[in-house]
Amino acid sequence: MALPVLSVLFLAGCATTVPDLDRERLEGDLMAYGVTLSEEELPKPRGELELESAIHQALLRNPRMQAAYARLDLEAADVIEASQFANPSLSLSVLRPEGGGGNEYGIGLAWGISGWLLRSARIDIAESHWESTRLQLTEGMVALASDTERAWYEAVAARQQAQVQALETRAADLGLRLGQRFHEAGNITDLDKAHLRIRATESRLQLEEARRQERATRLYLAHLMGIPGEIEDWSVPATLPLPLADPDAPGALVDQALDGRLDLAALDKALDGMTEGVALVRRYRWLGDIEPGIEFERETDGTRLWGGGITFTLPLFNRNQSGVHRAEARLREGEARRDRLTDAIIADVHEQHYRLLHHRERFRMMREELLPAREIAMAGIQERVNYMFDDVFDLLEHKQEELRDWRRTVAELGDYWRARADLAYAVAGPLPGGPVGREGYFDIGQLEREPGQMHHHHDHGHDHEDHGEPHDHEHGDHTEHSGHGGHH
Amino acid sequence: MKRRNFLLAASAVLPAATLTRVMAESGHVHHNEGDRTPGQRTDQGYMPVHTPNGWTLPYEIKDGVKEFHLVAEEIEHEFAPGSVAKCWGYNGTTPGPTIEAVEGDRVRIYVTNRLPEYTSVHWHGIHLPSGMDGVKGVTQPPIHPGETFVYEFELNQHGTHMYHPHADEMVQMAMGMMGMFIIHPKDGEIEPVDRDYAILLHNWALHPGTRRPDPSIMVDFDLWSMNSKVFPAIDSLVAKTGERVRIRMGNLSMWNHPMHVHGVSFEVTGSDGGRWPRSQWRKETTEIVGVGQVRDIEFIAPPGDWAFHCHMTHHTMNPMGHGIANPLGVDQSGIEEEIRTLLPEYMAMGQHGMADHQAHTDGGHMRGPDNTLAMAMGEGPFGTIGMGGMFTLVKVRDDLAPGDFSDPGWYWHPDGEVAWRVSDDPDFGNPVRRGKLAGAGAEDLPTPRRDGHGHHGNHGHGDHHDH
Ligand SMILES: [Cu+2]
Repeated sequence: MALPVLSVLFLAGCATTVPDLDRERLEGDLMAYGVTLSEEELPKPRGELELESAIHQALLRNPRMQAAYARLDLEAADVIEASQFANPSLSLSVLRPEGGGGNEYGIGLAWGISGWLLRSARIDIAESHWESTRLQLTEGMVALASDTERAWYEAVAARQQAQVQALETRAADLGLRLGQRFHEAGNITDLDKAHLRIRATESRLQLEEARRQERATRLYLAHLMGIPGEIEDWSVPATLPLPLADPDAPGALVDQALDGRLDLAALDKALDGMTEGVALVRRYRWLGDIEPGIEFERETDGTRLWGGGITFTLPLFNRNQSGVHRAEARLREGEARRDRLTDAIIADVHEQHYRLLHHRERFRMMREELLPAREIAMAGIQERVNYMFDDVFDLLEHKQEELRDWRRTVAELGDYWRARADLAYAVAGPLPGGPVGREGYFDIGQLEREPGQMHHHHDHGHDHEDHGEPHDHEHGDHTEHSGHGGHH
Repeated sequence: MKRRNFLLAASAVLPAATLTRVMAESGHVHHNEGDRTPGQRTDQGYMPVHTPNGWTLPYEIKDGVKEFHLVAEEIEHEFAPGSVAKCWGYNGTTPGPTIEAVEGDRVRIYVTNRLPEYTSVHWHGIHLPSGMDGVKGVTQPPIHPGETFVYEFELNQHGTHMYHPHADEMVQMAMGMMGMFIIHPKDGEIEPVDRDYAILLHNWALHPGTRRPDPSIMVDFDLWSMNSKVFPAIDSLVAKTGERVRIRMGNLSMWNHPMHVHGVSFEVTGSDGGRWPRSQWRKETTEIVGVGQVRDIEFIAPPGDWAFHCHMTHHTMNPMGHGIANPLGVDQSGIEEEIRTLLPEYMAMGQHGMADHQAHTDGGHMRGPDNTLAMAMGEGPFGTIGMGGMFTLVKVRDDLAPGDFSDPGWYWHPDGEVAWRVSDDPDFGNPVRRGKLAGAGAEDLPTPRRDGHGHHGNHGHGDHHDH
């Protein structure tokens, strides 16, 4: 009697769609965030690593993603389970602790009834959870892509900073080596030389630190890309791109964020399931405990995971008044959580937006005001050295200061790009301004010239054409009178 | 390219005539400035003074009084081509025009103030009623901007005098307000002079790259001037061979200046105390003109081009750095090239002395700060002159007309009268040497034997003789 019913229901359950890891939907979701997944097998990175490849590597290799995929499979299993009736043996085993013997039928029937009554609701709830989890996975991918983007910019900035620092250290080092020559010639004191050595050593210490940071940022990027410790075969570009056009006003960004944030969407899905659950509990309060649940996790590496679940118990001894209460309370709690998340998103968007503008403005000031002023100052000091008003040590010291400002400017630009990645993540979508690099790159090439270049004849604008015949005024033989008449 | 090679190449490409041409075109080396002075005595019997680069203030006689009019005002002044500043002066120039009068004259001098602050004029060294002495606050109220005051007094002395403000004088003198006031003796001179020059010595803090002198500087001046010009823009003093030349030198700077004339032993003949009695004249080749002092020197001009300059070597330089690391003897090879990877315009200088520096600045290899001069400038018939500041030439020629103060060009030396090269072998001639050489080979220096028989025969040095 009951068994055939059960088997019919079981077979009917088999007919429901089993959700699977639908890559197309995933990719559709990801496309909105500028993230693409390639079908091809991805080789490990080699050579210069572009931002997109870095993200690609991370999405494919990062264990965080593997865990998320696995989690989605677990949720999928829940949906399948929800659509199926529990195996009788399972229900029996659940019942056994309360059993006084001889009651198996009733119990089995009750389970069957409740399963049958709740089946479509359970499927809805499970599917909500699955949807929620799918969104979480997508969100997790977006978060990982964002983390990777940030780490990539950090690595580029660190590389570019280390390059400028190397030049700065060269200036300090040349000061010391020149000081040694001056010292050998008997023209400066031990004290002067010690000061030059201090300056050079300080600078070398900074270079050591810059190299450490460069390496650390590459290691972190490698870690995110799922190739921990492997940093030898690839490099990042040496030059940061210039800032792109400003994003919209924060109001529009907030709207964009509330529309597009996947963590919010995932929470909404989870809340749908909860709402459904509460309705279910109300409707079938005689049936026993039904506990829709909700989980919130923030993993240490910054991944955010939302989850939901539902638990059923059997209505043997009470009519589940407490269950109704609990379910309603849980729903309210979930709704409060949603409010908190919304508030957090709004605050985050405002903060990241402001941060972006701040770094952009500081970078602009440095690039358009500080560095040109430094350049003018350097030219002025060079001119003073030319006329022996100042000496070469002043020149080198000012060169060091100029390079320090270049380094600060690179750092500021790096901060700008990290802020931009943060803001893009906060608003859940690409920011306006076109492709990265559209405005060009922050070139530091002019800071260094090839040795052997002489500029004096080209840069000073002297015309050489009417200088006439060679006249050796340094080594000439003036003991003859032939030249005298021509001087006035 | 090695720097040495570069130098050789540069000197081949850039002829020495470049700067000379520039200077000639701007009219400074070869054309004396200022008003010509008539080469004959005036109705009052005196030979008028000539103020190199300057001029003499005209006067009118009213009711038997010589009336002069000075205007104190801001002016644009050129120290030498490439160095122009807003200065303060009188009647458009610094120094102001020379005032010339004769002992016994009554002078009436209007002073109009067109400065942004009050002023007064002190008649330095002149005997006059106390109320005419020009000390603001002590003997007179200030002459405010826009006001004209009049000074009137009788000249009862002769000599070389000066005028300058005695109101905010630290600023006003640093800005160039000063002039010469010459009083000729009424009874003529026992020993008449043919050429009478008046020169004010001064110092300026026109910091390189700026356009207004800085009055706060007390020691570290940039420009050392004769009549507010620096070499190579200072007029040459010219004379005919055998003429009696007088140079009247007043010093309103903040340093003493040991002024030196080549080729003559001049006589120091007077001051603001007048022309001294003959018995007090003394022969010198260098005479210190102390701050606030005046000295007259006289000599009979021998033919040639003769340097006339302050003997403080830094006073014969244009702006230069002080307290910079001394590059002398420092080999920068190798490092210089590396520095150029960061500072492409850098050139090591001064290893062998500062002389090569002028080759670079004259040749235009090195751009200096705006509105300033290289420390050494000027080009002569034998190459760079390498001077600046208080340096000029006395040019004496056999055939100059009285009153002709124009530059006669470079002296044409008679055959055999220019030092000539006899060898380019550094070991030439085995000269007697003593002491210890610096650096490598120090031990190789031969010690002269006490018996006086040196390496290439005894050349008569006293210390070689055994007693
Ligand atoms: Cu001097």
